[in-house]
Amino acid sequence: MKRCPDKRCNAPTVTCRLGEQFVTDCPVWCSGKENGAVAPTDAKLDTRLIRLPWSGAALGTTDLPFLTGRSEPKIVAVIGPHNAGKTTLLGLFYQQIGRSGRLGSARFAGSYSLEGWEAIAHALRWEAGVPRFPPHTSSGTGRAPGLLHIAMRENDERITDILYADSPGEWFHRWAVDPAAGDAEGAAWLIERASALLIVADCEALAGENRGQARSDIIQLVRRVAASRGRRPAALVWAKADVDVPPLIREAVTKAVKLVISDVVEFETSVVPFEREGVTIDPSASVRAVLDWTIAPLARGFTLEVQPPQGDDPFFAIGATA
Amino acid sequence: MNRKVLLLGEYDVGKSHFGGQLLGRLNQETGALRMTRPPQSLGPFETVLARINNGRAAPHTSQNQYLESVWPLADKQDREINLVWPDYGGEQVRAIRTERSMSREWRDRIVGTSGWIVMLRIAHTQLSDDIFTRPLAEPGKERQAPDVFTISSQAQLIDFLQWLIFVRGTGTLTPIGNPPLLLLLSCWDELPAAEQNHPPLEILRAHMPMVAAFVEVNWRPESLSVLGLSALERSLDEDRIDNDFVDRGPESFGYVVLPDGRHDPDLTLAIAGMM
Repeated sequence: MKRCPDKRCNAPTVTCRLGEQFVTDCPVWCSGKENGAVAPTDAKLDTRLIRLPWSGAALGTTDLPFLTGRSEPKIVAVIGPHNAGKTTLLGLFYQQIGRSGRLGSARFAGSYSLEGWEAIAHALRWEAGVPRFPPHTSSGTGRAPGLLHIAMRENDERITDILYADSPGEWFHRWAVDPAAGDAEGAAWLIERASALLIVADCEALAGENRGQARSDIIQLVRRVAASRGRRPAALVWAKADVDVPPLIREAVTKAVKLVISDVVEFETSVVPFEREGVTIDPSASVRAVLDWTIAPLARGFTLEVQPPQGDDPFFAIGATA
Repeated sequence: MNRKVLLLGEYDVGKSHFGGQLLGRLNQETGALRMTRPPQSLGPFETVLARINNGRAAPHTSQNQYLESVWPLADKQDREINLVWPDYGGEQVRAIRTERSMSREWRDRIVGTSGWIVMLRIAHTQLSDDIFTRPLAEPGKERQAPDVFTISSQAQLIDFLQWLIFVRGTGTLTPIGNPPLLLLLSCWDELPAAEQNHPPLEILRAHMPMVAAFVEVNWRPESLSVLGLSALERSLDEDRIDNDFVDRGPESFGYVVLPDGRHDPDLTLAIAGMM
């Protein structure tokens, strides 16, 4: 397959890294030995066609420069053990946005990973039989998590970009044990860059046969997150809240979390309605509460001088606040 | 140079019938817009008009019948635009979306336009039920393999609009003023009777909430319009003749749904907002 001599460039499957709409106009591409102007037989690789900078699938780190050109995206890390329900939670976010067009008081303004979102959310629809859980996020590929993008805008303001990290639970397990481990690199990358940290506890595991192990794993993970979080906001989500966790275990986890993250915000989510103190909580309301938390504006430690740009050109946007 | 307005839509949104009916109305010269001179090529539209004159639906256009048609239009104040039908069959738009690539010719076309009209068949875009609207008693335990799935119509349309914005190099930091966007919700008569008198924007918000949010926050209010359209007012069959339609003539059928929900038989109003 033809490819660009620049290893950081993914042309021709997406656009040229240097911004040429047609790769054949790019001097770096043309310096490749096999990249003459001969038309390939496969239309998907035809270099005479324009590509997009986004493929629609979850974004990887090399896809980010396109997005970071217009704003500083906020990364929301969804952290939790294997099978805790991280991807399901993200699928629920997307369904929630798809039904309302809203994220809190802001409105949906676009996404460069719509296919990635659809790939996890379609499992939650009644389109082809009974909804199921989305497939596992594989840990085999890549060292950065798949980032799912959502842009939102409030009133006439600028666009805010948010990236939700869909990463395999195995990473966090490894990272909690040894943050310097080679296969914990993805988790370390994410936790270092995230603006908000969402820790997912698995009620099913905490109520199951291996609850002792599950309890110790989540506490270890929370302590590790607490050590690296600085002043960033953190929340604990009790996923699969329709499963009752034994009170002693729940208490132990809550206490351990509060000990190290005193300002932690707690949520409960479920894909089926569940009861709390005689009140039935529906899945949609439980998910909306978490989604609203993830998009809450971050407190800034300082005030930036505001110099709004005069045009649409992101190049002149330097120095303007979001 | 005249401003060019592109009319886009996928296969099966009713572009042929709209084109045929619009041509009939323009030739009558009783509406808001008129044709300033006969366009170079009207071949496929004449065929459609002949079919519906006989009370039959036009057959679906195949790709090899493709030709670009440019209609020079003017309103009562003599403001002129060229309405461009770049992809009469709609297959090219679909290919752009599925293959995620675009030819230089299409790029030049998008860059050179000063308005976009995008047609979508609104009754085909109902949100599908999910676990929020139809709660599960017990979720299916086994996980789904990453099998084939269809992208929802909301996501398809949003990605296509993002394409247009990107290829034209239009900035999205602040809402877009130029080029203006018109969403034409076609086959309005397929909607449930209770919804047919609602304002089109309200229907878009109900059927495609994410698309409605996307266009409302990304375009300035004065540069965005959402209209309804029923080109034929009823479904015609390709083989069976609708005698009532023949007797009253195609000019008696079809309407545009204006932003306030009123129906107006002047189909040229669907384009007049772009003047």
